Amino acid sequence: MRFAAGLHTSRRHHVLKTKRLGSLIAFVWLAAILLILVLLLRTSQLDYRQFLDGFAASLARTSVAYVVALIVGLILALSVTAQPIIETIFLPILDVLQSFPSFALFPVLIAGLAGHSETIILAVLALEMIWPILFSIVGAVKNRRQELEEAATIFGAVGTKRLWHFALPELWPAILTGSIVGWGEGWEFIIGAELLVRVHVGIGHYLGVLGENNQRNLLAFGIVGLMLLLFMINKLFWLPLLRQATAYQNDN
Amino acid sequence: MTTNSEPIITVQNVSKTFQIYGRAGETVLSEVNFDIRRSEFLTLIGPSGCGKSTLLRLLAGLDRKFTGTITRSPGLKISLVFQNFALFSWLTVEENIGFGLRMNGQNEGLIKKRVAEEMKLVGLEGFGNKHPKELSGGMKQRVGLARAMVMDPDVLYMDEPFSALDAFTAKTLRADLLKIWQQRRMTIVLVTHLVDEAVELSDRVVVFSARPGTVKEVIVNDLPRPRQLREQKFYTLADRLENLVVTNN
Repeated sequence: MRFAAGLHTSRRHHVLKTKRLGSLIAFVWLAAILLILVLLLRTSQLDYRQFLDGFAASLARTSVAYVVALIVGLILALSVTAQPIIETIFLPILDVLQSFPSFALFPVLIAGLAGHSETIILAVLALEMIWPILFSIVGAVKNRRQELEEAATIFGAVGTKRLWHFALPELWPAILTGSIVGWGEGWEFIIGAELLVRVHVGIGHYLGVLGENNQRNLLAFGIVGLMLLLFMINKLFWLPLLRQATAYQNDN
Repeated sequence: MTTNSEPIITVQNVSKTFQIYGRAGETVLSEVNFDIRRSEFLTLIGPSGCGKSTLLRLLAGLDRKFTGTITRSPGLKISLVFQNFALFSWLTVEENIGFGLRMNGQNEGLIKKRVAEEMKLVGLEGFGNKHPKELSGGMKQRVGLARAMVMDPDVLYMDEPFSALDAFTAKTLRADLLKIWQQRRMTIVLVTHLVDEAVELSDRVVVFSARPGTVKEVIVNDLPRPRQLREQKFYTLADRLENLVVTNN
């Protein structure tokens, strides 16, 4: 008994030590990136206020579009997979729609929504981000274990309780995986979108101005700075969430 | 004693055919008739694929697409233990066990108390904050059993609950299950393909034919408890059951 307790304590110490070491390494990484970023902004003659304002505006746009894409994607995925007959009809339609290039919508939206540049960007951005989220959830729903569904039913999980206590936690890793891909695609997309729609604040707009003025060095610094900021968002936000969501997965 | 008690569930002419793209596919159960009595330990046994687990799901109300009738006494509370545990990986042991009570809107104080009682009953004390991933197969099935027992069921359905476990763990869990059953006296309906398990545990054994499954015979097992697994009488009944199952093939 004492031997078992000793083993347990030593294992706990080992886990704690490993966790502390992991946190320390992550902290050193982030501190290094932050330092590079500050040095870059300070020494490169890059207008860091414009750069950071632009980044903040693009981050706000991407975040709003992401929330819209997440809500619509989740509702669509759960609706489409609710009944086999609905899935048979609508899944191929969604499959075709996802291959439609979102940039092709710009001329239509610019013509129809002239003067509403924010709405145009958000609409097309959300449309671009929705597909990985939607199909990641659809895949998870189709692959989920029947026994888990039955357990939820037997133990009385119905309606909104089923959604909050069973469906969403079960789908959470897939929601996160789809979100990470969607978020990445959103950032690829927003640079082009801001250039096309010609907004006045945004990282795409700012980099575009540097390009137009042939300020190649500053453009390169700007791109590197953007990459570092996005890397930090992934490291500080998405990866911890994903690690937490998948920590207890695949148990039985 | 239990074999003479009143039927609480009656299965009459139950047949089940799976639909494939809306068309009738393979029939897995055909004209099944038997009853389940209060406080008995009933085992459903038969060759692989004869529809035992399907029937259990019909009995539990998880599948309502069948012909025939299943009549239940009013107000029966049921619960189910799954073959592959079916634990919720994102919840701790305590949260898994209390899941059903929480879904039924019980207050947190009562949930905590009932969960602690069931954890003690099945030997899970000290494991409350673990996640299923951190448990062995035997411990997982103890969680599955506690989760079912916490609902205080009148009928406990068990779908091959020991088949995913090693022989030693399964033996220990069978002994624990018998103890719990003798304390609580709920009705247990167990699906198994193991003849010895059926003889060791049950009051009656419903033997199914090969697919489409139908009731071949209902055998009353009146060997005295605790059952002696190495006695002649045990072997004789086990042989009789095995012959019935094998000849069904």
